[in-house]
Amino acid sequence: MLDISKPTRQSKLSILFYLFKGIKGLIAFVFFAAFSMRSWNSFMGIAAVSLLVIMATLVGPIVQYWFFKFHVENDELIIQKGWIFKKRKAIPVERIQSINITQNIAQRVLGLVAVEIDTAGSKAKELEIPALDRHFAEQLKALLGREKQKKAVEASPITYVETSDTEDIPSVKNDSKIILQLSFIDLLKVGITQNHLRSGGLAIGVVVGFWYKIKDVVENFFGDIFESVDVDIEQAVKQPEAFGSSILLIGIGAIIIFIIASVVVSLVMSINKFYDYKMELKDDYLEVRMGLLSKKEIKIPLSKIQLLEFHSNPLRKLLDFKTARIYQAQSQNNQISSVEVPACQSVLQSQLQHLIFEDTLEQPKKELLANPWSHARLDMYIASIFGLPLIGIAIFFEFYWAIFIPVVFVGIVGVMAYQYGKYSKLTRDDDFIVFYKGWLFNSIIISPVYKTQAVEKWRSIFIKRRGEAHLKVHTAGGSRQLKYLKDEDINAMQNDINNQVIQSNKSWM
Amino acid sequence: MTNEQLLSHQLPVVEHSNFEKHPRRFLNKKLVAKLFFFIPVLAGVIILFFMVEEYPWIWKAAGVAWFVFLILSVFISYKEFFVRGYVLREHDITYRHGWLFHHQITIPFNRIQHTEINHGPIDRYFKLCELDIYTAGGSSSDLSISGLDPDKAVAIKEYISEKTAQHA
Repeated sequence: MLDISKPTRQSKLSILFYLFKGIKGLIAFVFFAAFSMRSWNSFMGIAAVSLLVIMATLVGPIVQYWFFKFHVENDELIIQKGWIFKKRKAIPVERIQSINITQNIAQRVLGLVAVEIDTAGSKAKELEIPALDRHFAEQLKALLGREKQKKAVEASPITYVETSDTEDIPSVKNDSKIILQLSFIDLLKVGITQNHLRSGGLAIGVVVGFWYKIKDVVENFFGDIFESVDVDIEQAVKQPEAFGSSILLIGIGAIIIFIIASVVVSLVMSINKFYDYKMELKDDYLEVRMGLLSKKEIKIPLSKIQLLEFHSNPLRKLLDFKTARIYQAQSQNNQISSVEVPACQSVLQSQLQHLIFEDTLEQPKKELLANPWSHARLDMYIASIFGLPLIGIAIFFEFYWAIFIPVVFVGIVGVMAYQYGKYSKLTRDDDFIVFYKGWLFNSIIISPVYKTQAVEKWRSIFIKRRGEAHLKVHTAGGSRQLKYLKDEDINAMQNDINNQVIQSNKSWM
Repeated sequence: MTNEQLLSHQLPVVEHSNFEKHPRRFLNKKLVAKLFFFIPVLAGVIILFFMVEEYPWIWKAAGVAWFVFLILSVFISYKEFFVRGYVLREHDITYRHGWLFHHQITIPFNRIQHTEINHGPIDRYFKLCELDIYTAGGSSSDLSISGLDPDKAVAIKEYISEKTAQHA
């Protein structure tokens, strides 16, 4: 039995963990110091500073370890840290929403885990105990869960059977059902159907960012080599025919490299993220485990789930699966509040939906359709902001054939937006609000009506005379909106949803 | 005691309720606040007049832009005042605001976390205050009703707290 009524420190290995964190900075410093050395004098100065920095890096973790304490007192979890700037965070046990165990690569090497304590709704930032050994962390998680349940039992007039006693023995889970486990083939499928454009962009961003960091260093050492192979770009622009075929080749080559790099980056990223993915249903919460280099274990109480989304793209449509996203009630800027479920086949989709919200979607009673022309119009206006100056430039330089490019661009944007609007709608049955959004990259958003926190209607002055407006549904897990719906339909929907929320007594978060 | 069955579509609709207007001095406060913003910008135009003597069109253009923006924002504030309003019903609060971008948001009392009354220096001079209504989760559905009479704001706040306490 775990006793944390007295202030407790973390595992001693946490010193090493903090050291790891510090060492990243140290390496950067050493790099910087090494390159800024010019003479013996500066060497002495830098050596002195380095010694100081190294001392600080070495002593810091010990201080951090020594002054980080946590304990439970009067139904509050209290975390104290800091030596010069002392910090004390207290969180009432019954406010704890979920307790997650995560592990990044440094923690993995040391056999440590971090315990994250999430408190939705309140403005207090979530708390983290970064370095505990696994056994201790699991006991702590069980203990806090038990305390919380005890509080809940005390608070509610109806006493129910305590099931928590079994929780401290991990092997006896009373109701545990595996919902999804990804095999390596599934993982590959997920990787291949990622949005490659995005990962390609990400790859370029990282490479460019990294290049700017090391540019000076490289130029210092290898500057001469670069100068000798300098391509005369000015020349190339003036006389394209001299470079004609080679420029074309370079262009095609670049595109091929970009595509390959994007796919590889997508694959690597999704394997790293979803490796060993396992989603389990235990009692009344979902437990999700995933990750290769940094492991994540997330626990979501079913009653806290606010939104369920299914995302698709053309590649996924071919393989007939979607990515589901589960949003729970969130505190400010909390990243962990959404969980991804990759490779969601249609059977699993309805299973998830049924499991989380206990009801299945029925034939919708009401359907609000978006006006595709309004979507097309807005997007074409925005595209014209870029397109019109291009046309102006083309006319000024008398490249009349070039007018073709912006015109086609605006046209394509318009068609895409029209299709987006055509396939977008909002439906409502007795229990759910469902958003259908988008065309090629479409998504379905499901939210139970009673979980709605507020309904908003908004419009700009320009669409007032068209009798259109936008509808925004706010939940504790985020807001979702659909644009360009009929004004009077929105009014009816808004009143409907609102009145249903007023009448509902179910706890919504 | 009556206990009739209510169906949600029989309940009254928001559009039929009378929206309560803000006190007239809220418009004055808005206009004064606009002036406080625009006067320092005018100083910028005057500096241009003295600094860039060889190109007089610069300060003229800046002056015209200043004037146009002033008129435009005064006009928007004026228009906005007349569409701004709130409705307090038995179970929810609805607030609408904005002329260029008009918003209407309804929050039922059983979804409100807490309320707050704030006032700044200009607010105090005009005897106004702001009522902030917070919901759970992110800040997207929080409501802030500015330009209320302090007594009224306190009354609304108490009414809401009483209602939310019933649901907690």
